[in-house]
Amino acid sequence: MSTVDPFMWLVRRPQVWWRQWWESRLQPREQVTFTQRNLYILPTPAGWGFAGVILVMLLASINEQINLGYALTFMVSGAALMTMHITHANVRGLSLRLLPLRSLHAGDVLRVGVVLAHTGKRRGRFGLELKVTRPIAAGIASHEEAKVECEVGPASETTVEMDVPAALRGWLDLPRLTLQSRYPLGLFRAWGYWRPQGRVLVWPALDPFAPPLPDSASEVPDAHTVRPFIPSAEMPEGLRAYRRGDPLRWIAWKKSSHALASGTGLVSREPAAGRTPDLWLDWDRSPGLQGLDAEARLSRLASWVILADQQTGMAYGLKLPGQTIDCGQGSTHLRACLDALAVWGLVAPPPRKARQ
Amino acid sequence: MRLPPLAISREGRDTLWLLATLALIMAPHAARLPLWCALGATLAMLWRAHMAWRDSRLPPRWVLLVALAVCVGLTLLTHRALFGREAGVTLVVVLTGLKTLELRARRDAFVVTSLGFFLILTQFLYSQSIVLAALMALAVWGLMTSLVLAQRPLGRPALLTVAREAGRTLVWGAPLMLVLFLLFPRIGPLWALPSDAQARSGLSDSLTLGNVAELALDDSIAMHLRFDSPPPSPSEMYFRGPVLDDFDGQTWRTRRVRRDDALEDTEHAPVNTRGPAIRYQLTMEATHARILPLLEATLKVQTPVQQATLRLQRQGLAWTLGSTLHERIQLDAQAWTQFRYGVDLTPQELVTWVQLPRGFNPRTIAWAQSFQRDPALAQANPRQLVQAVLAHIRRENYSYTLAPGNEEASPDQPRPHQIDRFWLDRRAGFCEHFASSFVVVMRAMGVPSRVVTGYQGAELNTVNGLYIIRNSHAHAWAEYWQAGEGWVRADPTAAVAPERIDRSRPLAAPRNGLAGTLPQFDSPLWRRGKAFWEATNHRWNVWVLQYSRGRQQQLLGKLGWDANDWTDIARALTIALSGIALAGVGWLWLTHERLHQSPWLRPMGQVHRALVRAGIPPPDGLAPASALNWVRSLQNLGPSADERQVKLVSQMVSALQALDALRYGPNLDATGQPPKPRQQLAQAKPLLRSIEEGARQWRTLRAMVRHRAH
Repeated sequence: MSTVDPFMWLVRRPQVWWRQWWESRLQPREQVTFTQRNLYILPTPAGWGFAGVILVMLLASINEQINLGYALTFMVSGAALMTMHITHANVRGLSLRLLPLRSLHAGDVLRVGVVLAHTGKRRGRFGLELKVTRPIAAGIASHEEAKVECEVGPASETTVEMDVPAALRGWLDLPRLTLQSRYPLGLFRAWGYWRPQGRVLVWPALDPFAPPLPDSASEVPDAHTVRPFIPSAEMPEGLRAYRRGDPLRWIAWKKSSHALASGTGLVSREPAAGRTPDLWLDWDRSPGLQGLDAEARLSRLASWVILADQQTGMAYGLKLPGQTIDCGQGSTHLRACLDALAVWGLVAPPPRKARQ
Repeated sequence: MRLPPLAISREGRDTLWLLATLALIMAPHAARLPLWCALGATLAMLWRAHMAWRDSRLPPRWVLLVALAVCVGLTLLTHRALFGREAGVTLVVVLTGLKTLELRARRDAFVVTSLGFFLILTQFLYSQSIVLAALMALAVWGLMTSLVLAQRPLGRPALLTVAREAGRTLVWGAPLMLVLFLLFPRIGPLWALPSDAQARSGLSDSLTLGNVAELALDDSIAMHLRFDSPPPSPSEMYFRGPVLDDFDGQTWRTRRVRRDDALEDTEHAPVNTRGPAIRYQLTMEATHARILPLLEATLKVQTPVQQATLRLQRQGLAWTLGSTLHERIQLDAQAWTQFRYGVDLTPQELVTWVQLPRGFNPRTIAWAQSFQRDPALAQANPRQLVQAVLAHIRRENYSYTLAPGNEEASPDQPRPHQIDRFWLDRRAGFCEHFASSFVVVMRAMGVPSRVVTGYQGAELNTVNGLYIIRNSHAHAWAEYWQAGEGWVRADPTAAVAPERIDRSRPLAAPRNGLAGTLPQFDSPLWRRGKAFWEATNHRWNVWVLQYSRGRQQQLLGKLGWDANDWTDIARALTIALSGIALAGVGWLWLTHERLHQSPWLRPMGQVHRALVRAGIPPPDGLAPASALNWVRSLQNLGPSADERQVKLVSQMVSALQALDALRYGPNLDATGQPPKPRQQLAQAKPLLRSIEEGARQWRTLRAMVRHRAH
């Protein structure tokens, strides 16, 4: 591919530069209020077409010397010009803010809740569109845009939900949003940009083909990481039905033979709380990870972490090259593990500076 | 299943609305359109309305293409053209009708509304009456409403609400419209139109009823006059154009005279003049015609040296140019008010001016003959007959109007017996009706007579002393032949509307057709209503239909601006538009958002500046940082050895906490109301001062500690 695509160079590249320049100008903000300073307005293609229509009507009036033709032409053009003010006023004074964001797995769609607030008490704002511009990917400014139409009554708020696809794991900065309106006649488009100061951690995608949790016992023993297991001292009295993932050594074989005979199933000895053998999910050693590339490993590890969290009472830890998360339990631990998987191997993004 | 009464989808409702508006726009065209076109458009729109009602699918595109091809073919067959006025209107109607068949209200609103605006404009080619204007204003509102509907996709907004929004844009645009209408320079046609546009720009050598009325609506200037000798009164100013001798029942025409014809000599017959000549200078605008309407009985004309190439010819009293006039010319001329002309005509020659076409206007002819049988007129000469007929006009209920109704003949719709209709039935008409009927009556009584067209009257511009003759001064009068005196002028219009002649302004009060058909009540209320209507009509004529460059200049003159030229008017327009734009900017400035900034922004800024200046690291996040964040930041300063530093920090922390308590705490005043921000800020002042003081001391202390460390 040594040829240079002229379309790429003449159209796409300038578009990318233009958008990069724009987005670098835009400071991310927690909320935005559209005023005369950050609101833009230009005629739409339909507006230019309408100007053409008016011109033709004017020419016809001049040529036919009809005064009512002049009156009609000027009536329409006066109204059309005044919609410039009305369109601008339709967006002016509106403000946008974000609802809390929730982390998600790569490949899912991020639901961004945006609250559109209108403090004016006299008239509602109609024909509004909230538009997400897809981020620049691979040097190409995508033209795919998701639009949501909305309107807001006087002195009220409305919540708009927008979908932002999260394709890659890691930190996802919210893309630039555009609030625009062509109301009332569609001859002018007034719009304003907003880069929401919101950032979501995208966890690795879940692996649909993830095998069951690896058995700690089948792990290659490691004196440093596996705590010695002393059944005589630590085996609790309680018994319970066998669950997938219970080590073989837990199975109460005698009880199980009776149970099997009565047709119920294997029986395990219930370990005391907190005393469960720890499950280490290891990048290098866990079975079922061999032969996978890094992303596939991360995604399988993420699936396992979630599986392990669903097992009551199981403590699990995560070992990644260069990072280890000790065994633990609970939602905070799960979150820490997933977050570690999400940012593993990524360059830490520079902390965002708050605007002075 | 019974549906609730308005079980129609929103899209369907919007479509029906647009269709209704289009129907309103097209309705006045219906009578003018070819039958197939009117029927086809109606059918297409009814079909579309049915589909909108039922929410059914639109017809496939090939059906529309076939229909379009058929319609274009039919247009070609009917009008033999695709361009030009009639064909153009037919085509626009066809296109609009077909476009509705693939109309989805939102997406195609623009295309269809644009077509709608064009259609409204074409209405004004045919009529500019008040009623039509009001209807079309409603239609504009309807189209605007459709546009607004297309921009409100959500929910099902009530039509009334949306119509009010559309009305709001129109009302807002009204000042701009007014300024543009008043001040947009009225310039002449940019290019010549095919067919009928020629008839209106000047006099022609034929006259079909209705021509002069069209010309009378054209307020552009035809010529200027400057008198070097005492001027005659404007009512005596008759500018003689083509003389129309022959009538075929529809049209009056100039008699073509050949060089070798005997008649030539009679027309060249000398004109006997008496009394002194009137000297005047005339500036004539380009008329694109060969006729040169000069003051009656102008016998001598001189052209300035630089325009010597003009070949002026006189035939009797009529002047013509060797070629059509495409530029403004200036002439010096002499005219005589007292003259005799055509005295020597023989009875054989005069016979041609008594001829009437057979089979036309039998009732008028019968009326004239019975009128003549009146014993009092048994022995009357032509002069006495003329006086008697003029007296009849004055006595009977004849009226003068610019809009005598849709009675004009056109080539494709001949209306025979127009004179009958005017003279005996309607009795309301323009000067051409009076002149031509008068001549028909005179001829029926055996008096040689003919129609003369030209201009009558003039406006004196008091500023420069020039007399202005506009195209609206176009006039038609009559001439009869009296033995011993030759041709004598008789103006029947003067009998019915003396003010038309005396005030020398066209009396422009067309009665509309409605008022004419109603029975004539004679109650005071009716009379007042009628007077009001006529006054309104008059104002409409003067301010809307005849609004012209001259009137623009008058208007600017009243405002103290001496506008000579269209460039001056353009300048005035530019100034007015700039004024409006400035007003728009001013409005923006007046209504710009005063952001509802927290009243605490300023005091917190003070705190921020003081503490940063004291060298305390500011907390992360937005500036100015909140009191809470500063408290954390101060507490993170770490243990300090100096007693005074610890004390200062705790003093500042407590002040900051007090600020926070003041700002967020439930501090109700004595009446149980939350305090006003202003009261809160007043209470905050000592706290702020204490923090600033603390920060200053902190700075000096730190400097001392550093100094000691060194």
